Amino acid sequence: MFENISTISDLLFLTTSYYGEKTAFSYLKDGKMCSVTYSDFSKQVTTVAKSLVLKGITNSKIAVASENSYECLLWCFAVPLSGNVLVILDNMATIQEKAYMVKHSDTACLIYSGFNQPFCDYITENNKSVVHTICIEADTENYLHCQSEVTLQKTDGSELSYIFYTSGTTGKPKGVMHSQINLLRTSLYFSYSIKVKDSIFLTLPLNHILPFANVVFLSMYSGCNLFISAGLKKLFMEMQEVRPYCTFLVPALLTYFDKMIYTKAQELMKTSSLDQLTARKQSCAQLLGGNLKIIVIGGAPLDLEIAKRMQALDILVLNGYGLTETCGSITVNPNEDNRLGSIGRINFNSEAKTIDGEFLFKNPYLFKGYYKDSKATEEAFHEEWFLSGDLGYIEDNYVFIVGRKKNLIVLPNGKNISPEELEIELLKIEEMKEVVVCLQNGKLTAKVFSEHDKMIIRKKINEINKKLASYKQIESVVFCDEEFPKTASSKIKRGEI
Amino acid sequence: MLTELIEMIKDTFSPTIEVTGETALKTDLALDSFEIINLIGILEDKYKIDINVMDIVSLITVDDICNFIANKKDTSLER
Repeated sequence: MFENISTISDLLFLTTSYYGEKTAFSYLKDGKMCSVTYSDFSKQVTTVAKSLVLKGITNSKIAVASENSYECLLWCFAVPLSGNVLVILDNMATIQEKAYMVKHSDTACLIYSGFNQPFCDYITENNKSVVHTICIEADTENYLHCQSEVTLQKTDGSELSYIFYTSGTTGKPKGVMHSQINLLRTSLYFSYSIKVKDSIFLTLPLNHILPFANVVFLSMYSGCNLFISAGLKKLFMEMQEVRPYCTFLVPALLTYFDKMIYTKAQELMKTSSLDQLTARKQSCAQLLGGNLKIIVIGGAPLDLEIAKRMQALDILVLNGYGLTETCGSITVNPNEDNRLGSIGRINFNSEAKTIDGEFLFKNPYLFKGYYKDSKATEEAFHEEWFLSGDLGYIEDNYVFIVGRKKNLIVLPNGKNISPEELEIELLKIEEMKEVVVCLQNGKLTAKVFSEHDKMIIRKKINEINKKLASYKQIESVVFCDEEFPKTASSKIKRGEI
Repeated sequence: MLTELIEMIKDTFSPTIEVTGETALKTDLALDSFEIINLIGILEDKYKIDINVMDIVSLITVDDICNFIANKKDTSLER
């Protein structure tokens, strides 16, 4: 059906032809369920794209800073369709971090949610290259009612259409460049492994490539109804209302589900004679809607015990793997042959091999390079193979990960952190003699060596935490009695702490 | 309000350490982000305020939450 898909325009045309009046997207607004059909979505995206062109916003970089919403998704489709380049900002990043991405990407237009008003004000004040601003809540309606005879540019889908910012090992985020064909074709091969139906529940933030491309496009290829969650605070209430068939999570969220099911089951068992498994099944059905059959996990290592507990509740837990550079999923466990412990089967259009234990991947849709950083782009490849930085082995076309080559920390919520970046901040504490940031028991931990008062250091770390994005905040402080072991060149040996 | 907040934290999370205004949610109480979001939900209901997930960034200690709620309540009264 979608074999030759190359552009967003193709996707809109084909999904309208196949699924026209079916619901494509839904969301809750003021407690009321709203839904948009494939046909209406296509019309709305096209109108907004034409409005952009009519306003003279063409061949520009357009940044989006927003929490997930239907309107945000609408813009994410309209921008590339209008021939502009979409720069996707991490909504949870600090104002300074987002401002860096806007400047680095040469953004000329900023689309922002009301929540990002202070960020927009900061940009208007400090970045004169940004000449247009569009507030999602206030302005989308105007763009939807714009009558215009504009013709949109035809494209073959291979030009630059997206820039995603990811954590670099040196701390400064890198802009990963992609085309429409990259995202569409990679997600198509992903959809050959994951068989879904009915409704998919979207809770992961759209600034990540997995939800942005893999989840949204999988849902559209499969003719599903993608429910866009309003955020974690209303997660369970929404799941009970929507009763999704499938959802995509990071391991940290799966752990949260597991904890909630456990707590609810304990309560049930206090007031009934249910055995543990039945109590867990009932709790799970109550919390997650009772129709959930598939959870796809990506972004960070999966806890196998939790996966097994979920599978005992008749929910298939499929682990996948991918990077922004590989357009998200390059391996995933298919429904019909799920192998827990593996990050999945290599997608049909991709090849993988290891050199000195490190995975190298190859397919026709790898990223186009890092924006304005040809040196980093060159370093990311070995001939036409992408160097993943992850270590492991391949068995029967299934991939198994054992660790990471670089120091980058992958948190259970899927965020990547450069420990050096945080260590530089922490070393600004006068009393701090040595510090190493690492992941311990799933928490971002600062291991500290200092002869000074521990309380003072704790307080100062709390102060530093206030200036960091929430996912970069130190979660645990461990004091060590001795200096850290070092190499001959006085570098701390991370592996030995 | 501080005493009330401390009691609420004790009831919800049964911490093993003594909780004061200076106690940090992450580094002292070992709460993860979802537990903090859960706490925010309880606070929203109790104090009839709206807390944005992004505000959590600056809520490091129990005192921070206390000041935050006090400010929020003042602002909503002004309106």
